[in-house]
Amino acid sequence: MRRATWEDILRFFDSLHGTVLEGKLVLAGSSGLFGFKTAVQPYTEDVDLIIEEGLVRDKEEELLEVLSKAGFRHFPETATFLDAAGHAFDLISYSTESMEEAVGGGRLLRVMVFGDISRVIHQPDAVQRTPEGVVALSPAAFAVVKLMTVRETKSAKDKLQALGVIAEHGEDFAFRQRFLAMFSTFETDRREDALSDTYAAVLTLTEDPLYREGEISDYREYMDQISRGYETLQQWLEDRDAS
Amino acid sequence: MPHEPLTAQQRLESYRRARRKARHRRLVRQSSADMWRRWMRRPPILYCLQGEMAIHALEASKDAVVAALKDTAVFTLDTASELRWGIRLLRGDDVHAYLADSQLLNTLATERLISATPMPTKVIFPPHFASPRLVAVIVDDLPPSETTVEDYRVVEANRLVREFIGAVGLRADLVALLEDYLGREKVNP
Repeated sequence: MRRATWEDILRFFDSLHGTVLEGKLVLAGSSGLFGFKTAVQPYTEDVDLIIEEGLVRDKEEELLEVLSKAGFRHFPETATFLDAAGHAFDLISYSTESMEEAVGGGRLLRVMVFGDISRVIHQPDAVQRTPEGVVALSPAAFAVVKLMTVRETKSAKDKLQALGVIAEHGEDFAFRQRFLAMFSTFETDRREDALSDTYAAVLTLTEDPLYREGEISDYREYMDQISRGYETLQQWLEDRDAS
Repeated sequence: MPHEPLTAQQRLESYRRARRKARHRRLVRQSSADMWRRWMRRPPILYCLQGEMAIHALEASKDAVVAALKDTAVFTLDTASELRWGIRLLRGDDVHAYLADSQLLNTLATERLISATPMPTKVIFPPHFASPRLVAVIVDDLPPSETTVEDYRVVEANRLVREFIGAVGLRADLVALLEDYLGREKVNP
């Protein structure tokens, strides 16, 4: 697989002009970091694109044809596509009808519906357009989705990326309001799970031998950012609970 | 592709397994009453990343080095714990200190309290028994400190716990012990 660049993503979105997919895909996952100005690194090869499950169900054939014309091969029963150059993307779905996880889509193109994304994507200011016209998660929505992401692997990366974005917006009142509004839509248990996992992710950095033995000067700035993001998040939540 | 992509059904199953594990972690957390909430308010501080770290072998007693730094250093980790409560929590007899001036190291070396050249290591707590060292971090501004009854400056109590977590990870036994000492201080300052 080949790591996608912003230029690759733009080329792909350009190829969707005038098709059933124009304006229907939202840049997300770690590749969502391409969607707004940030110094946080995506550390990913594939691109995640959010799509409404109903569209996949109703327009499956048309959608597969568009993506095939754009040069992408579909892996049957999956939501994964790969082009000849090795660029891959995954479709991840949300539902307008339910907040539960499920499998949906059509006969060939099966997608997983994520309840958490279904919840966030309907919130005001959850998505925005880049100057080039790509629809992407807003920074606040990105941070919430990453904090709430539950998966078997790479969970620490999700949390650390969220903290990095929060650190960059620590003084941004509008970001804070949007973030808290979206984060508050989750139940208390889920929020506490996310915070606990975030704390665990911060601790994993302290256990990284690189910081003890390696070139720590490179690490310092990163640790500062993560610590700042964590403390900002804690402060926001304490202030909200106190008010 | 390095791996076959997961089918939607496999993704869903993987997600459900991750949620089950998260619920298990939640149960463990909830059984610890409010301990985890206190811990989460104490994110780690990485002592060695606060400035330039310099580790020198001690050529005099630990007490002599600590005394020589009394007016200039802010002590932390085991040295702070010892100065504050008379206990050391970890193995070894190192001196842990923040210094605002690297020249102090030359002065200590001239006085034959520490080795003239730094040791080629960045390990704060070696996994083996080692000769006592001065583990100094040179900073532009000394961290917020408190003064012990014997007039040594040590990092603030909450920061001390955070620096221990940063140095050795979330060792529940150590954090509980530190909190116990902090609690006693509040009752009997």
